[in-house]
This record gives sequence, C-alpha cells and structure tokens, in this order.
Amino acid sequence: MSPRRRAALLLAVPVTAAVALLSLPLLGLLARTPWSRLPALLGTSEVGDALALSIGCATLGALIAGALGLPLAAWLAGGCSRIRSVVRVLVLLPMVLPPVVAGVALLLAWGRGGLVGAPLERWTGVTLPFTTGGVVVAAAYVALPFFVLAAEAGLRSFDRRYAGAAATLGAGPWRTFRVVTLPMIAPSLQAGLVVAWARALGEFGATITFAGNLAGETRTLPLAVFAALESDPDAAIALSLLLVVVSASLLFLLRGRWLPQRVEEGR
Amino acid sequence: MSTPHTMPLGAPAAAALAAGLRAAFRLRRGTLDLTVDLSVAPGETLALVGPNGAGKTTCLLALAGLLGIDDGQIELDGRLLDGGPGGVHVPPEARRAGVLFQDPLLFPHLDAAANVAFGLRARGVPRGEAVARAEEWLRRVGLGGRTRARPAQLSGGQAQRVALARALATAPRMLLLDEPLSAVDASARIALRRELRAQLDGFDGVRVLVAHDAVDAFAFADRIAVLEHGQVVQAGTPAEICARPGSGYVADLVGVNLFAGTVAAGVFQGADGGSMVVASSHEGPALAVLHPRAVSLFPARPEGSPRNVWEAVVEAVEPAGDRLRVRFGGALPLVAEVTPAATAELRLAAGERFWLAVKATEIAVYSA
Repeated sequence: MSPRRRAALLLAVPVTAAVALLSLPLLGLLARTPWSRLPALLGTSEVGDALALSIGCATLGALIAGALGLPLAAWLAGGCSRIRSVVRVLVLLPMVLPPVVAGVALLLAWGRGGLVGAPLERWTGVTLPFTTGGVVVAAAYVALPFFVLAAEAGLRSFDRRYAGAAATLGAGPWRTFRVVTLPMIAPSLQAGLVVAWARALGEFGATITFAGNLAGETRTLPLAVFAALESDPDAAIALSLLLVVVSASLLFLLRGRWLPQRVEEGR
Repeated sequence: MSTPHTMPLGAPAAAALAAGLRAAFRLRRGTLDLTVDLSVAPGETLALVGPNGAGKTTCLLALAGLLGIDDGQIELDGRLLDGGPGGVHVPPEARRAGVLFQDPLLFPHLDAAANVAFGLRARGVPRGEAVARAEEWLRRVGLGGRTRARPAQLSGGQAQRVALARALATAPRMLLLDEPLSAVDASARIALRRELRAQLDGFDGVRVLVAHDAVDAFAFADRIAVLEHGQVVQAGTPAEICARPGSGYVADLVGVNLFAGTVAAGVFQGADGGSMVVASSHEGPALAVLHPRAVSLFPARPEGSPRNVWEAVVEAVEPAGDRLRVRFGGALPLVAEVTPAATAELRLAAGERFWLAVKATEIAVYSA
C-alpha cells in the first residue's frame, strides 16, 4: 500500500465519524417525522405566527447587529490599544456565555427594576422584557459577536493602499469608506450577516429567559418546539423539520457567498 | 485644514510664491531617517533613484500627504501643504497630487471608466459628465475599447494605463510616480514607457518619479536626485550625474554610458555621430546603454577581433568610490571604469590617447 493511499485511508476514519455525527441527528429527525400529519401539524396559525416571528426577529436582530457591529468592527480594526482589547473581550463574551446566563443578564439590565430598564420605563413607558422587542434585543445581543468578527476580519485584510489611492484622487475619509472600502469588504459583511441571522434564528436560552414564551408575541420557532415537546411530540418534530428546512434553504441560497470570496486585488 | 501662510518681511517671497514644488523636510519612520531638500519647476521631471530602503517611496508618500512630516515644510505653487509655523497638514484629498503607485490599485469592483471617473465624482462632477470625461481619458491612453472592463480583466500594462488616466483625469498640479513600470512585465514595459513619456510630455505640472532603474531615470528625468540612507547624496542633470557619480552606488546605477541614436541591421548609429555594432535585432530609434566596466582600455590597438574598437583621448580621470572613471572625448564620449591598480599600469591622464574596445553583447539596446 502506497503511503499516499494509507494516508487517505487513515483520513477516511475520522471523516466518516464526523459526517456521521453531523448527519445522524438529521436522519433521526427524518425517520420519526409524521409525514402524513405534516400538513395538519404545520398548517396551524400558531406555527405561522412562530415562523413569521422567528424570521422577523432574526432579521431585525441581524440588521441591528450589522448596523452597530460595522462601526464597532471599524474601530476595533483601527488598532490594538488596551481599551480595544477590553472591548473585544466584551464583544466575544456573548459567543461563549451560556444563553440562559445571557438572558438573566439581559433581564437584570433591561428588566423593569433593572439598571437601564427602570429609567427607560420611567421616561418613555417602554418595557422590553416579555415583549417582541425583547426577542429582538436578545437576538441582536447573541448575533452581534458573529457579525463583528466577520466584519473586523474583512477590514483587517483590506489593503489600506486602496484607501490611500482614493484619498489622492480627492475622496475624503467618508467617501473612501463608502465607495471603496465597503464594496471591497462586502463579501465579509455578507458572510457576517448570514452567520448573525442564523445565530439569531436559533436563539433559545436568552429569549425564553428574557422575553418569555408567549404565543404570538415572543414564542419563536425554537420556543415553540420546546413548548410542543411536552404536549405534542409529533408537532415538535414537525416544527424541528421546518427549522431545518429554513436553515438549509438559507445555506443553499447563499452557498456561493457563504465563505468570503477573495476580493480580486488589482495586480 | 490649511492656515493662511504669511511670509515674514524680508524673506525671499519670490521663491515661496514661485510655481512648482518646494520640499525641505525631515521624516523619521522605523529605522529610516529621511532628510530631503528638493525643488521641482512646473513641467520638470525629477527622478528619485537609490537603493531599496533609501526612502524614495517614503518621500513620495510624504509629498502626496499620505505620510506626515516631522520637520520642515512642503509647498506647491506657493501653497503650504505641510509644516510651517502652524504645523499645517493638508490631507491628500485636498492636495491635487496625482499618484501612480507601483501597483495600479484599481478599485476591483468598478469598471475602467468608473475607476477613472472616481476622482471626478469625488470632486463633485455629475455622474454623466464624469463618465464621459473618463471615457475620453481612456481613449487618450489607448483603451477606448475597454471602458467597461473590470480590473481583473485587464493586463498589467492596461491596468497601469487606466491608473495613469485615473490620476491625470483629476487635473492634478503635481504628478507623483512610484516605479510605475515595475509591476509590468518586460514585454509590456516598452509600450507603457512610451505611453507614460507621451502623457508626461503633455502634463504641465510638477513631476516626481521614483525610478526603477537607470533607463527609466534617463528616459523621463530632467534632473535626478540620488537618495542613500535617507539622504540626498547627489543631485543634478542626468548628464552631470552620469559624468561624475558621487559614490560607488551611483556609479553602478546611473553611471552608465547612454547614447541616443538609431539601430539598423545590427549597427547603432549615434545621434551625434559614431557607430557601434550591437547584438540586437531591434530596428529604429533606440537608446544604447553600456556599463563603464564593459569598456576595455589598451595602450595600443588590441590584437584579436573585438568588433568595436576605436581610439580616443582622455578628457578627465575622476575617482568614484574605490574606482576611477575615465572620460573620453569623441563622437561617442564613453566613460570607462578601471581599478586603481590598472591606473598605475596604464598611466592615465588627461590628453593621453588610448584604444577602447567594447563587445557587442555588452551593449543593451532599448527602444526609444
């Protein structure tokens, strides 16, 4: 056996194991799916509400993450001072924090008696916990790090000489950022938005802790799955399948842009 | 923002108000400590030459405003761009300095016309007019048919032409060129050099060129400044630098014999007379370049059969670093470089007659 062939065989074992680990849960789900009852299970208005709420909140959350994350990423990419290191830890924290803990922390900050929540309610009458707004805040909170990481990576790999060339042509910093930098790092931003959206769509722990599980208001698809598991396991399976289909279609639609393509650098 | 620059009474106001570039500054960056003192008149081309790391590109970036200076000042057409009493720094976008970088740096997401129109748009020209003027500029650099092409679809030479059109389209007062031919492959270099030559001739502002090699310096420059270790070690016209290189490096880089003329059937005919056999199939106007070390000296007509042999009178003998440069008169006024040991043998002195021999293969021929 040639060394090359032996290496290929050695590689085949862990690759098969990994693919099995990833595909077995899906196969399990498909094997148990009550196909005949599927239209009835998914055709209810609750499912429609949950799906619309999920997609709407995930989209809003990802957009907020993008709107706040881009300036943050630009600032983080601008240097490596001590304060940037501290802020970077803050940015990454939601990625590693158990979502339930994130929900508790959100509640303590934005809750009715919370640090920000109390004055917010006193002055504007707005309360976030256990509202759709709370779902969006939770989604934005957990999605932000994913977008910031992608955007900062894009900005750091951006060749600053292009910005210099734009400046010598008479473009100020804002025009240069808008017309040169942004389009050139667009693939990174797109990838960041997709990952942020996917993370927001799957959000469960922080949402149920901070926003509760109110049908039609804060019950997103993952929460609906959780609620159905006790009352109607078949419905839980059907909803899970729906989530798989939504996520997989997104990946399929954006398969070309999933990974930031190398920006063609003018030779 | 620029603060009004008032000249103190009694200062040489005429010099400060004169058109052109006046740059005397110091800039420290990493291990580089750059000190330059340059003046360039409108319509004049100054070439910066020197070894890698000498500070040529840094100097150009400072003139463009992409790097700040530590001391001194930079003035263009009487306007203070950097330094002065108020510590002015006019940002690059407000300098009206067109820059041609080593790489074209075309914006990859914009087509050729949009790249050229970029500077016009940044200066408030309406889109339609900007695109029309960009297309006109592309025609001028011979790329009228590639206005819709993306940078990735252009060859290196074409991309650098678009970059040239892009820099010129904004009507800069100063053109800064950083080894503009270095990223282009040899086959496209000749055509691009000619294009650059033509466009530079039509540009009436200040031109500063970081030259890749002696040929570029001689092809473009009215004056040459030699930078070594951040210092201008020598400045003058190409002829002056060629005749009296101030150091071994200069002697190697620009101390070449360069003649303009025409090549026909393997014979180079000098514009001022004289001819040499060359190993080149080129036909037509040409520059012939040969290194002073390639010139051999003999007290009597050499034996054997070197193709190019003639007798000439020594005009001067000058030291250049650890070598001696011997200047000869005649229709092809050659400079020969010899070691001090050879000098003792040959008894070199002005007025002495020698036989010179040059191998045809030692003569490089460039299309002019």
